[in-house]
Amino acid sequence: MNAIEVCKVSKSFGGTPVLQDISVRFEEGKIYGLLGRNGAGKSTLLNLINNRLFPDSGQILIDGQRAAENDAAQGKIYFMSEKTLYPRDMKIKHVFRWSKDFYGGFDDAYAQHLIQAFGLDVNKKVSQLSTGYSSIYKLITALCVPVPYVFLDEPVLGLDATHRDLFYKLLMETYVERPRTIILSTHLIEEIANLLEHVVILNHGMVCRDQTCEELLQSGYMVTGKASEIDAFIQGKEVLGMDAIGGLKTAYLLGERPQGLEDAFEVAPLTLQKLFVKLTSE
Amino acid sequence: MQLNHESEVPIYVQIAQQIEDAIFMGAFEEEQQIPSTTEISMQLKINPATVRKGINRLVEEDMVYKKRGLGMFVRQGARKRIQEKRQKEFYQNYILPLISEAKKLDLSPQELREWMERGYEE
Amino acid sequence: MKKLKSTILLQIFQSRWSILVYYGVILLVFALNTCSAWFFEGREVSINGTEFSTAVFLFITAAIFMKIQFPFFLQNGISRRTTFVGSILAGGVFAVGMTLFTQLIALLAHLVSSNISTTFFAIYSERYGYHYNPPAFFEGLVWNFAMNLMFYLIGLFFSALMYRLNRILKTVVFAGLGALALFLPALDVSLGNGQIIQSLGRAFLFCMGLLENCNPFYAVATFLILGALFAAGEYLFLRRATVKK
Repeated sequence: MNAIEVCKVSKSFGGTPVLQDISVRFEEGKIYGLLGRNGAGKSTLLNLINNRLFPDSGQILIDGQRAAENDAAQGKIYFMSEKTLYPRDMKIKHVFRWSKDFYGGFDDAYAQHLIQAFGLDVNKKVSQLSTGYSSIYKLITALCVPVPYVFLDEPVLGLDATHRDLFYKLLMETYVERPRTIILSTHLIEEIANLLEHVVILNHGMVCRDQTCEELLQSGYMVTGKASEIDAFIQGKEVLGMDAIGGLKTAYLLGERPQGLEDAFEVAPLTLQKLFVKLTSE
Repeated sequence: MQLNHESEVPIYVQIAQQIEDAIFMGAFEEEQQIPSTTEISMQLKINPATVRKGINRLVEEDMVYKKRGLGMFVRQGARKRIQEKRQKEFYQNYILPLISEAKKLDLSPQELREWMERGYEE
Repeated sequence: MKKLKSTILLQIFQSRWSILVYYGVILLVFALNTCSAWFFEGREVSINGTEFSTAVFLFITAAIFMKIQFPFFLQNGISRRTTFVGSILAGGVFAVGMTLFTQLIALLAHLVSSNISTTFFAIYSERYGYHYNPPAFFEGLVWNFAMNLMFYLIGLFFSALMYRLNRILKTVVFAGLGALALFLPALDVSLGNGQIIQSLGRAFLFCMGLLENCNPFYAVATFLILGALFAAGEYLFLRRATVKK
């Protein structure tokens, strides 16, 4: 199966390790969530895959080819991030035109559809756009270049609620039409939780979780009840975290749920955000 | 279609149930096309794989079937099958929880019976 | 291959306005000069400064390469190696184009008034019997191409160097070079009897082909060798460059 393979990659900045012996695989045609707190190493990992930085050790392969300094391999991926690498004075329509040239293609028809849907003025220059529209033209580029791997780092930065909603809908539409690997990296976990098929969580430069969304959400549960009863219940169990308010306590647990738990306590499944917060808290 | 993201029930099961509801209520008639994976995926902002899983569940239960090149259609007799299925599940899904709650509130079977009859009359 | 071609085309595209404006100004100055030559008989029509200004223009165009083009290429999935080759080849294209254009203007000037004085001709006129003949034109093309290319490559080197150095190192480099330029002559005169400066002078004349003979091709070789060295320097700094915050 075609995939992007990150093999035992490490990276330090000025003596501080940011990524430690990371191995992860992004397979073709799936939507991934890459989650992590600030400083967890997400951006560094994305920069390494996209040839912006060099790993200290390990290697990255794209469909079996070395990713670093490789035109053919890099031509298979597009990286959308907050950082604008386009020339400030370039008009958006020219950004699209050159993307077409470098990536060997551009879905002009779909781009038109998106430009109209978002109300983007393609005659504006890169430097003249608001934060929201800066994200939008990059998103359009990301979705219109014929690459099998698309990285979206904080894709909805600056987008109002209407545009965010529109983006998620359009993302699903284009994904069904032309399935490809989409890696979403964002802090807005609740918003994208249902879009994901697979989740990779980074914490302190290491892979904390690398599972399908379904497996991850079924890996635990939360119980709420009287503090003393909860304290008794959690003995011998794997506890991710606890919340307390008044005499009530909520415990977040990993593992299989005992039968008949609902009779004694209030039980609920873990949501991706809750699981993430508890997994990555100190 | 609305989904409950905090619910115990997995999303794909919710999708299957809601399409089933729609078939049962006659919103989708037999031999009529149901919304495509793309439509549902876009409307609800859910990964298509999840949507497909829900629809496959209905295919397994023989509620819908695929017409090559056209989409998913409601199977003949699906409504009747849903009714039978739900009748069977009625005891598990409604009666038992009712009794469990009634026991917690110290209600007797007589009181339940009286209320049941009153409810049917109204 | 196709990507390499695109990198060259993009660099030309990015410079289209500055080149147009540059030549617009040159032609304007030339036209004014020619008109005044007609009004005041015998006045020399000179495009003396044009060759050097073209070289400087090319240096400046190259000097902003890293800041503007490098991130752009990275965003489009182009490796640093291809970026490097593309920068050199684009330099070649610019050098050819601008050399031709500038020298054609010189030719035009010669037709208007035979008191032509291009920088090249001024230096090597002895070789052509002080007549602006076809060999002077064609050899001038080669000499100017080599010089222009060298200036572009120096600009690329400068661009890459500045991109990689942090503020402290930049200050050190500039201060160091400045000190060298200021103090070397003084030291040389007081301690070395002016030998170093003299040797440097002789070396310069040799490289330009003006020592014993009058051969512009010595200069061409010098320009190309130096250009290659600067290009190598550019690669050295480019190969591990990353995008700045």
